[in-house]
Amino acid sequence: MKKYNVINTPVHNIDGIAKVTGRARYTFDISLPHMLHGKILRSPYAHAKILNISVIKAESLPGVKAVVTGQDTLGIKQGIWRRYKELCDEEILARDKVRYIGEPVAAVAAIDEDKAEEALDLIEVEYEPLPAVFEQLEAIKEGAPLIHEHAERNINVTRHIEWGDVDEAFRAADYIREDWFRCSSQAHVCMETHCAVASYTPEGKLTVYTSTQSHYYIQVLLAWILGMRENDVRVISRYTGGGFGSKFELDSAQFCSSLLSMKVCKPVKIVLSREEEFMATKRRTPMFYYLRSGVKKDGSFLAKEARVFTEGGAYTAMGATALYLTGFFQAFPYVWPSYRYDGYRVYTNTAPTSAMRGFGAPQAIFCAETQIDLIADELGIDPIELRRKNVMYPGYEVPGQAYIQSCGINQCLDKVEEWIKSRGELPPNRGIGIAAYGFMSGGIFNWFDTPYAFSSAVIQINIDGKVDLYVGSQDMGQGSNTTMAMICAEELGVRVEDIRLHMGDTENCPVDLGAWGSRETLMQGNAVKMAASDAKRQLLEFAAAKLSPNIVYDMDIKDRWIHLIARPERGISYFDIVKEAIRGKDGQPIIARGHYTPHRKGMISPAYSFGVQAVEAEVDPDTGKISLKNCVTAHDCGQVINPIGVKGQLEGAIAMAAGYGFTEDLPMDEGKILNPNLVDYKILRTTEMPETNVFEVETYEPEGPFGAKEAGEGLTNPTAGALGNAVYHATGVSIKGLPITPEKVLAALKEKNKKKKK
Amino acid sequence: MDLARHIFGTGDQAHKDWVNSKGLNFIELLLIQTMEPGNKGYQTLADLLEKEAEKVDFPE
Repeated sequence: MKKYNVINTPVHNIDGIAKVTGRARYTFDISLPHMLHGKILRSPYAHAKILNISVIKAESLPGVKAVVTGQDTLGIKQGIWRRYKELCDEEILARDKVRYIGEPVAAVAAIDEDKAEEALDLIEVEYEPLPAVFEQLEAIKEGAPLIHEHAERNINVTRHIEWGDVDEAFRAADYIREDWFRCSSQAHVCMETHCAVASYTPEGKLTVYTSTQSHYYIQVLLAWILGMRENDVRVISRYTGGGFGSKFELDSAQFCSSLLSMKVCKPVKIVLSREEEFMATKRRTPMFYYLRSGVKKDGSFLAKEARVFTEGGAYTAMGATALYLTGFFQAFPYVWPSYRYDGYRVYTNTAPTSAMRGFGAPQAIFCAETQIDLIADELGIDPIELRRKNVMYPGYEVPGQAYIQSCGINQCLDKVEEWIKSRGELPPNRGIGIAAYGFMSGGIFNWFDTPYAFSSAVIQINIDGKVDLYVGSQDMGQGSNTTMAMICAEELGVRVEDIRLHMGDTENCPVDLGAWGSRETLMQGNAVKMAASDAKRQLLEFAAAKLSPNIVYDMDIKDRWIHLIARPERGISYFDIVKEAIRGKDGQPIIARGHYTPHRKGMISPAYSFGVQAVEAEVDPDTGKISLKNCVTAHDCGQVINPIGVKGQLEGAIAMAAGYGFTEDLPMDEGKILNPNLVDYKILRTTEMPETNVFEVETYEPEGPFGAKEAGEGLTNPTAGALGNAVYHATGVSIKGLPITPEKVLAALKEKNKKKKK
Repeated sequence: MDLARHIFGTGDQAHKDWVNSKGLNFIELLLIQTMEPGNKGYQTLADLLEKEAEKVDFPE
């Protein structure tokens, strides 16, 4: 008898048909009666005082209905880190000072977009430019321009992680290696740019349709910054066209449209242009990384020391979390007997850096895995064997940080090794590189200071057996709606088509912290499973009364059939029992609830996915151009819920992570991003994608629903490192700065040839 | 050392002011921790904390 009816079967997205037929209404599609259109005026300076803003001319332009500036706000500095007020440092609409090019200073609502745009030119802003600093190692120097008055030397946040006796361990090492790396920034490039339609009514209620990863966070942050009661703010987000970490903080579209709507009591729509999206929304955190590792000559890891300076940009955002996680995942997925990490996030006059898929781990893994291959080379040890000797195992405790319950990394190494051997001898200028990784399945931290359970779910079973499932999770294209429907169907013993999912509305969905940190499958999934289990229990009470089985028999529901587990032929239809149960409950539908909050699960996460990725790349020695040929990933996400979903996540992750590895960059000149468009910003095209393959390594995670773990962010972690190692094995040069461009490869090859000649 | 880690970890004004009042500079200690090998920044603060602890009279 098969283990599961629904889990681990391929299920297409339950909202897929609505999306491909155009019926899915994204925020961009929303149009309300009497709706106005908004535009935002942004600072042309990286650092300047705002001396005066005059909006008289803009307000007088026919067709303009409202203009707001920072003086129309309560002056509240907000941020996601609500428990730590000193990290809540962003006003969104600047009042006294601007700190990056693109920072909002005013906003206009008009009858159409063109009028709003015209009005922007009529707003007169008097600035006093201030000295600016753009790079973290410059910003930290004595005498550098001070970006926030409270932050001495522009140090925003520091983090320290340590275990073991690091200095003693280095003294015992046979071989010590130190390297310096530079990790670049990256743009999220969501298909749907940041947008919002805000509608404020004279009754004092605000409704905001928006593209978001967490309608709960946006509800709370908007209420806070606008001085409103939380539940007088309603946030609706039925469809979100991509997030990748860019959309769970309050943004300028949401705030400015709300402010404008409150002024005129009419709906206001703001959609950021692609240029604004690049210049004035948050991005991946660039890092300057120092790594020192000490090992024995047999390859046993002894000690590692990491020091990181991150370019914070103008505000804290989620950068503090990225700072911690990069230090935590620097030691992953290996057993380091001693480890020390010091991280510093430094304010700079650039667009703020924040969360992006991987959350600091892609940078950490790129540096760590690059160094490991260099160590393997110097010691004459096979790179897979070196990793195998030192990887984590089930039951391992990362001292003071995490407990690893399930870990399939050894099986992942086996699968990848098998694939590499099957490739045989490679053509010239081609190499295969590998990288191992691990990632969290949701964070245990409550820096948002929510009093609610981290995830909740409510189920209602109706007379026809249809199940209304209410969740707070946000599907941003990763497929969480389908995952939740599958978990509910499996636990309740019905089919996916019996589930009607409700999400994306703070007015009638329970709280969930949102789609970030790869948390939805484990956390929302556990809440859904608990609710479904409770609903099932209620049905089984009535079924037991109906069937009168011997007390020793257990009952279950599978595929709409309620039965004795030991005698499955003895049973009754789910639909019949639903009718009986509702009659028995005085005509009330079956209602059940579930929730999940991690307790005593270490410092980071209740569970971790693991994996190994191999990238085969070819390098043109004359141009330095890199072509991806193959990408194979052995991935341990515990029990796979939806194999189609995992494949989709993997392919998307490869595109994003490979882009980070060798094509995407955000070069700046004096704080101005130079390529804010999709022509000059090079994301991977479909023609550049390699052949991909995923090998699922099945383990069982006790913390996860049906043993499942994440299969989202972890998959972005290894590609840059694996790609860098592929280039190293193809050419003999190791590039320690991202992205690995043809220019860097050529320069390194020239240097190598020069040394050879000497 | 654990207390030194805690003080640097919180990094709030009260802790910074205390460290600065003892003749050290909080930020400089942080930078030494990063720029120089070993655990110098933290060790310096840990040594200070030990000395300060000796001055406190604990009730019997």
